[in-house]
Amino acid sequence: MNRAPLLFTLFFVLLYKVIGHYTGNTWLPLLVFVVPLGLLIFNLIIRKSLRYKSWFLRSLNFLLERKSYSTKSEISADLLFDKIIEVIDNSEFHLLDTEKDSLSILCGTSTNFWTWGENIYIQIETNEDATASIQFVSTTLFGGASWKRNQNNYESFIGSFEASLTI
Amino acid sequence: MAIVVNLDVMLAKRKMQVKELSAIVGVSVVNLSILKQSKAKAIRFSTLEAICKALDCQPSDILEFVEETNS
Repeated sequence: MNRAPLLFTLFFVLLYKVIGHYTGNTWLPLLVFVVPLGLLIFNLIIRKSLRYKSWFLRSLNFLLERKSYSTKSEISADLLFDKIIEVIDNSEFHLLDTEKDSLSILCGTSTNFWTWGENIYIQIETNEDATASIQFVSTTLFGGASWKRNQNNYESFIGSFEASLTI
Repeated sequence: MAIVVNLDVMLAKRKMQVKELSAIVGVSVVNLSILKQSKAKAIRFSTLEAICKALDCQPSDILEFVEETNS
């Protein structure tokens, strides 16, 4: 199942060749692929900044799949911010951007042969009872299906976070 | 919390900063702060040993059992 993105890509390359062969045009099938390809390149360029968070998390952006999870912690929000950064540094995720004022963190997974990677937006909020809430949103960079990668990212993050609380 | 961590008390007695202790025991400042606030899930014997060595104290000086009262 993890190899599905590659198989889809190969399918579309094949489709491009078939359309090109039967229509005799190279620009016509190319035009069909320019829009998704442009979107992918655009997303890859802007993925590293928290400034474009709303673009990736907007529900109208139906070409991306996102999964949202939330959890609570008894650790104060400020300390939790530093703790999560430490957890990310010691995990498979890459820290991309942080905003201390808004307690926002952006990290991501790497692009590899099977996936374009995912962006993970973490938002910490202080609750009235002095606890903190962690809002975790994992989104694909391209494609309406994550093939369970979004869910796996959350499970991996929570696993690393819980393990790090044994000091 | 039934187990209370008195790390801040021992740090004050030894006139030591968390940053200083962090450098000696090799545990990050963030983790020591979490431990200090009794928010850690567990403590390793190796960490406890290193803290006791650095602060020249016993584990009982760091950890205390306080019975919770049901109000």
